[in-house]
Amino acid sequence: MSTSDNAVKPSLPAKCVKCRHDLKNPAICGHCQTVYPVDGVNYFDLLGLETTYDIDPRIVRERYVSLARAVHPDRLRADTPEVEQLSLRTTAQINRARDVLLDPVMRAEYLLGMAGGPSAADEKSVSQDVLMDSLALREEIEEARAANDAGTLASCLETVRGRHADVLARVAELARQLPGDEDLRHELRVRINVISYYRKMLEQDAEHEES
Amino acid sequence: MADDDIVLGIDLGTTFSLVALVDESGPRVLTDENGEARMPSVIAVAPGGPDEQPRVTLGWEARNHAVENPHATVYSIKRLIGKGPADVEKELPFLAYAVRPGPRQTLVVDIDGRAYTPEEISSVILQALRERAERALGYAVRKAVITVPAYFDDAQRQATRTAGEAAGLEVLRIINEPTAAALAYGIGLRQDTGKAATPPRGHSPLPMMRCSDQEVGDGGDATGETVAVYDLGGGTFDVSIMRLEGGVFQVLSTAGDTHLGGDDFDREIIKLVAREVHEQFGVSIEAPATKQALRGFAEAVKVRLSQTESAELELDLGNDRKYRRTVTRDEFERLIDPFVTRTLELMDRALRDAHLTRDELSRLVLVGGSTRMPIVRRRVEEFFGRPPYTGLDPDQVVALGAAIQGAMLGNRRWDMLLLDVTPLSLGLETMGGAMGKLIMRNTTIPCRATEMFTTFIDGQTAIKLNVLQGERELARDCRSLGEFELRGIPPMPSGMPKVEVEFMIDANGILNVSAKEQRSGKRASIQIVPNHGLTRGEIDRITRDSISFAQQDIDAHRRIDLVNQVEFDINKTEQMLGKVGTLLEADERRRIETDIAALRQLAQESGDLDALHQALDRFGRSTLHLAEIGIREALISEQKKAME
Repeated sequence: MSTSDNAVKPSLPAKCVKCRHDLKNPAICGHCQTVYPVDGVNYFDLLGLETTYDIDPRIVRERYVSLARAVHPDRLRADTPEVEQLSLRTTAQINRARDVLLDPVMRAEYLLGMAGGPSAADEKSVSQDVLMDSLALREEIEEARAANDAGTLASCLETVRGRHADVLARVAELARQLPGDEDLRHELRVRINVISYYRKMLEQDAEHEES
Repeated sequence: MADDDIVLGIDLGTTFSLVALVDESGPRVLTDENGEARMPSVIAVAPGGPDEQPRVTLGWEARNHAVENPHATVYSIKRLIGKGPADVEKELPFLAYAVRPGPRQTLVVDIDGRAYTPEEISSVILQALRERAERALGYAVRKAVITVPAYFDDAQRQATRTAGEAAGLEVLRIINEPTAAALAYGIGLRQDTGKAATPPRGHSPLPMMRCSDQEVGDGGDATGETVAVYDLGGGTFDVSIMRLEGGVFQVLSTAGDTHLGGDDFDREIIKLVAREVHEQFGVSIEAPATKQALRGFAEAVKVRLSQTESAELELDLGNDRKYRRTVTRDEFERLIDPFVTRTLELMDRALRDAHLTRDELSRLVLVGGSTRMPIVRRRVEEFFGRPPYTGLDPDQVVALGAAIQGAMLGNRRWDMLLLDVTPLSLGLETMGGAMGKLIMRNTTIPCRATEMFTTFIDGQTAIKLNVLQGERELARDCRSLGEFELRGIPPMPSGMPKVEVEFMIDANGILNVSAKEQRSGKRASIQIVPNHGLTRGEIDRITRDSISFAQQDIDAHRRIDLVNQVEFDINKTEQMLGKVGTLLEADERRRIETDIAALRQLAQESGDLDALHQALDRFGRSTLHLAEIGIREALISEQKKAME
């Protein structure tokens, strides 16, 4: 994740510096189409959403599209190269905001970043049980594949999917309680790391299918 | 519409190129004087007489005379653009023209001693299309949208844009071919709806003026549709999955292979014939003219087999030796089946990346000339479980889509939004030679990532980065976009500077890099030595003196190129002498040094370019032994390094 994801600046200019109309969105003035840099703006604010784990993906997409329609370099009539650059950067940021907020894990990680403390990537400790369990699963998958045992392979993958779903549910539960205390944030970091283990296993399987 | 509002849509294809535009009467492709929209992407440099300049021809004329002028007829240049020597090893034996390595892992086409970059050759094609449009319109046109395969990497996109600039075009956008096709599909340019892709005279204005709150296309409804565009052309394969909804065209994922297309199918026939000719007559097909003729026959057989169950092939080998063969469709399909299987695997990958199943696609749209082949239609139908959609003109739809995008960019009132993705992950080489990803494949563009760097020694003012594209774990298996050197970092103790580097992929899918030292707020400059691409100076040169087929000074060019090549070869040889010269006999070493001086002098003085060309060839042969020693020593030292 890029470093700018977690640098959150809450304050927005309330009025457009150009036409003095109220700014309804930090990225662009709805009245005179002046585009603003949004490097430090919180992704929820950027898309006009309440800062909370539970979001409606449809609303995220709607807000995203209406904002992109205004700011996207294809759409904005930029008079100068500087404005064109700004439109590009702001659109890139909006794209990133949508991707982060639509993904349940990235969204949890983003909220975790807002709550402060180290990021999930900084947290190296994954519980021994989980490590052993996922190693065993991986081995079993490889053996089943080598033996062309479709039945065992399918049931292993089913197990991985089940574990993935369980951890994801726990991540959601924890993310809803943010900022919480350090124990909660620690557990959230660990769980987010565990999810990436399972995701990698499922991805590798898909790539294996292909080759 | 004012003249400068016209934006051309150009499909720069491997085999054929087309140009389209949108005017008051809607999108249309422009045709030549014979009513043909397709222009073969072929250029030929015809040898002039003793006092004549060589003559550049292109299109049908060049294609039809390919056999008479095989070494000087360049086709399928799209498979070489933005590529390096290592990428095309398998390709070269099939080409009737000569290709050699240029500087910085580029390739050049060598015709009678004159080096042509793929960018220059493509620019001749683009210029001809521009002139076609200018003839049709009666005034000058400057702006264009040019299409590329969705799976083109950064170097290939940059090179295509350079070719456009060299043709005197302002390239407003590089757009992906399947996305262009989807755009044409989405606004309802379908043959079966009566809104023909080539609007007949007096046709009604096209529905592209509609606003986004109305339905887009007749397949669309309030909830939109998800389509896969399967684009199999002359040289490349792409599949893009996209969502069309309320005037928003969003690409969800793309996958492809920039070396999979009609050319590969032709080659299966060529390989078959070459093997049998060798068995029957004990000769191999080496002569450029025979290669070129065989290529033409193979293509004709392939096209015929889309219509009939078998096709005849006859090749005259001289001396009363005639090779004759009937190829059946079954036989041909067995040969190319692995390629079709590969396209379907890529389709599965694209679906996976889009988090969709086959059943969730509303339509699978076929685009590109090679989708006319029965085996493609049959296997795609088996894969999809339903017949694919074939209502678009597979040849024209990409150019039409590009023209529509051009019109959107020229006139921003249309309430449509096109959101494409980057096809390949972008990253940096990390310690230990791994690929550290910064931007994942299939991320919506424009997109950016930032990364912090610092220095390792006190007072260090520059940092080198190796920027990579690809999906593999190791840097060496990915494509290096070149060395990026951050300069002008204020001297500080090691570890103190904080240089933030921004990687921005713009709406063309092209990378832009900038850097800033955070403590001083100073912008660090970035020097980029592109791999597989041209330097700014070289771009300026070909833009300035792009080979025009109206009038040219090939000799002057040839001289510049020869002299450059002489310098390049001499430098290389001198470096080699410095490294491993002591391993040579004193005699040989002295001889090479004399040769260098002589060649250098000849390059400065000689007006006889043929003599210079021959001298360069001789020099190459006389330094072969040294080059071999150099390579051997380099390998040994690599091995030593690996042992340590």
